[in-house]
Amino acid sequence: MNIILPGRVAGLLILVAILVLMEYLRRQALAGKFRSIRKIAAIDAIEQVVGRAAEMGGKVHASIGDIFAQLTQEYATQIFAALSITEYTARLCAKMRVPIIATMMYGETLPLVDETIQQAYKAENRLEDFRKENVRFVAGTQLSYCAGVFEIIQKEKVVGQLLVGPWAYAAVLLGEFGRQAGALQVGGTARIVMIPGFVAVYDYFLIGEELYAGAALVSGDKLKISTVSAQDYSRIASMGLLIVGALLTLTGSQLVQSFLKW
Amino acid sequence: MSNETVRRTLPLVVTIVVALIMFLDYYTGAPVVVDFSRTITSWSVVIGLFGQLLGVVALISINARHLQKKTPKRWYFSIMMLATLFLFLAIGLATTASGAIYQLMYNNIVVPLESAMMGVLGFYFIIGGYKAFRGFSLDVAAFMLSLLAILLMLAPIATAIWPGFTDIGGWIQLVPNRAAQRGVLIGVSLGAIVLAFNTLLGRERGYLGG
Repeated sequence: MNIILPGRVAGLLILVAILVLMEYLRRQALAGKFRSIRKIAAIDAIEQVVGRAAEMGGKVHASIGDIFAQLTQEYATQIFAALSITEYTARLCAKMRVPIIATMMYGETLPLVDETIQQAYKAENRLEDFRKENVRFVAGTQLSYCAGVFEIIQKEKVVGQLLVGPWAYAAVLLGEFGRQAGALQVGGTARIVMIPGFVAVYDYFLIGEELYAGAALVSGDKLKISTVSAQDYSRIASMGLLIVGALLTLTGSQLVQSFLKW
Repeated sequence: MSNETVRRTLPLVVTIVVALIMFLDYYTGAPVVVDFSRTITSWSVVIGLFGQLLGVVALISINARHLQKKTPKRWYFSIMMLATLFLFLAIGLATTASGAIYQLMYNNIVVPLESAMMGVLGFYFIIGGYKAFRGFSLDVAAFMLSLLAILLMLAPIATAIWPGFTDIGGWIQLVPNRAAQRGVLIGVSLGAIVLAFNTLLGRERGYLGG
C-alpha cells in the first residue's frame, strides 16, 4: 500500500523542496545575509493614498475582497495577505489621523478585520482614535455590497481606497465609484481573471504574486522578506523544468511528464 | 488562560493542527484522516454561517444606532434596510426561501436591482478599457489588437463576413493568452505556498491581528 497517494508524490516533493529552500533562506537571514525583493510601486503608493486623505481631510476605505473573501474557500491565503496590507494601511491611517472605513461581504471576516485594525491603532498608540463602527459588514450579496459601499464613498468623503484580496467584478464597480469620487486607489488580486479589470480602473495595482510579496514587504520583517524570495528561486526552477520538459519532449522523452504524474 | 494565550496561541495551534490534517488528507488519503477532515469541513460551513449571523447582528446594531441618533440623510435609509431585512427574514422563516411569496419578492425586487447594477458594470468596463487605451505604446497597441480580434471572433456578423476571424481570435485565446495566464498562475501558486508555509509555521500572524 502506498503511503502517498499515486499522482501526488511529485507535488509533495516540490513542496518539501520549497520548504527546505525557505528554511535555508531564513537561516541565512538569521546569520545576517538578508535577501531583498524589489520594491512594489503599489505598496509605496499606500502612503501616498493615506497622506493625500490627510491633506484633504477625507477618509480611506479598505476591503479585503467580495464574493471570494471567505476563509473556507481556496482564496484564504489571499485574505491573509490582504489583512497584512490592511494592517499596514491602518497603521498609516492611525499615524496620520485619517479615519479608515473597512467593509466586508462576509460576517466571518468581521472579527478578523476588526482585530487587525484595532491592533494597528494600538501599535501606533492611537487606540482612542479607533472607531468600531467604521468596521462594517455591508451585505451578503455582491451587488448589494457594491451599492452599500457606493453610499459610503459618496457620503463619507472617501478620498482613498485600498481594495486588495480575492476580488470578483465588484472591484471594477467600486474602483469606478472611487474614481468618480476623486479617490486615489490601490487595488490588487491574485485572481487571474480580474487582473485586466484592476489594470484598467486602478491608479496602482498588485498583480498576482505581488499580493503575497507586498504582504511580506509591509511587515518590514527581514526574515519574512527573505523567505518570500524563495518564490523567485522557485519560479526560476519552474521555468527550468518547463524548458527541460519541452526539450525532452522534442526528443521523444516523457521523463518530466512522468515525474510530474508520479 | 491568559489573554495572550486565548488571542494568539490558541488560534495558531488550531490553524496548524487543522492545516496538517488537511495536508495529510490530500497526500495520504488515510481513512482516519479523511473522516476527520470531512468533519472539520462540515464544521467550517457551520462556523461560517455563524459568522454571517455576526455580520447581520453588526448590521442591525449600526442601523439601529443611526435610527436612534436620527443621523441626518441616513436614518430613513436605516428604516428601509431594517424593514426589508426583517420582512425577508419573517417570510423566509414562515414559508422557507423556496416558498412562493419569498420567491416572488426575491425575483421582483432583488433580481431586477442586481440586473441594473450588472448593466452599469458593463459600461464601467468599457470606460475602464477606453481609459487604458489612452496614449500610444506597444503594450496598448497589442492590447487593442487582441481586443479587436476577440470582438470580431465573437460578433456573428464578423465571422459571417470572414470565417478567419474565428481562427485568429481562437489562436490569441489559446496561445499567448493562455501562456501568460499560466505564467501568472505559477507565480500566484508559489506565492500562496510560501505564505501558507509561513502561516503553518506560525511566522505569518497577520490574520491574528498583526
